[in-house]
Amino acid sequence: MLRNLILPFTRTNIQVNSVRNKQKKVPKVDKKLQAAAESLASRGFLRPNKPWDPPVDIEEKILKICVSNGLNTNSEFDSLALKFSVLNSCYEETGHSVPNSLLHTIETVDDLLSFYETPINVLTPFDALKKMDLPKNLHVQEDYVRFHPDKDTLFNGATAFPQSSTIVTGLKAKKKYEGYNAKRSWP
Amino acid sequence: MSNKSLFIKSGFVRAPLQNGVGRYVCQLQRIVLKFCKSHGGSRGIRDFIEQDLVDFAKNSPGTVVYLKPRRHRSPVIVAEYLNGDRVWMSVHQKTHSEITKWIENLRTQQGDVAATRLRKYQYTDHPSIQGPWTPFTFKDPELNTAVLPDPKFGANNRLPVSATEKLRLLFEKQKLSDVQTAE
Repeated sequence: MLRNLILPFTRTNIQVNSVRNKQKKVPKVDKKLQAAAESLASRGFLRPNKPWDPPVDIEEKILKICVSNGLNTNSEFDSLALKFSVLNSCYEETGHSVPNSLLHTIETVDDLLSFYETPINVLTPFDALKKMDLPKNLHVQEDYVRFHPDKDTLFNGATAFPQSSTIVTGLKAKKKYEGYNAKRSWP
Repeated sequence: MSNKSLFIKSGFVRAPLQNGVGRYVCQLQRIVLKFCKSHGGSRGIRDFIEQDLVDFAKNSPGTVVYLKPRRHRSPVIVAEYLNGDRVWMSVHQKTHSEITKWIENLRTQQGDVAATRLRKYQYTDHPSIQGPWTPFTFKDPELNTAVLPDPKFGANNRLPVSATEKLRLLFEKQKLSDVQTAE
């Protein structure tokens, strides 16, 4: 209705085409990738990095190594062989090596210094809760309280769920947590 | 729908011991958060624990918070109240912000409100300030000492004069004046 009013006012010829239920074009998203990303974000992962707490004199150590290989600060690594020898000697000194994914980011001695000065903390936030000062009304059960008939101290090995076994699958989990097979028939 | 066909208990809008009129006592006695350390459904509650839990515990010192990690179990919040109510809520696949809101809801309610059908939406200790209505509230106090039947109190003057009555009175007046002029 508004169109009928507006058109006579403009003295030009306008052709207005209105299409009902026009298909909206949406960019295609790779659902598999999205699902994998979501699942990874939900699960959370802690890469098995080794923790690193930079000591106070790390800067002079690194600079000493670089100087002994013929570099000063702000100079780039000339050849890959030179880079390898420098990084290798740094690892032998400190025990902390540059991971493969970050090798391409270390181009100058400055980059190397900043890498060695960044601390790496492998404590999960839940484990960090154990260490920090908690208010008195917060009680955190840090480790799982698991039942094993041989190690039970409360009820002499009597289980609350008879005939029910605890089965731990998974290679890493088997080493951490013990399951047991319950007796299912008597005798 | 009568009450006997419903399973939900009914109640009125009440606060235990006038809570809030004087001091406010948080009715949440303890809250237990059970979650899995690695499963994806516990992501929301894990985020809540990492970021907002300690502040929550500090802000409600009268409530005890228990954290129970359980392998391969879906996340659950159990809230127990001072009146004995126990509220079990699954937070599986809920987001961090949703869980924050639900926990705030659990902290501020006074029991399992979802299990109570409110009979009335208002409650007051003083239903009437100036005294409830009686049939003598707006009547003339002379009624107290009048001897009934009384022509003043029995007069037919409740309704205003209708148009028909007005015409009739005019007619009567005209008849009288006609008689007078005739005389």
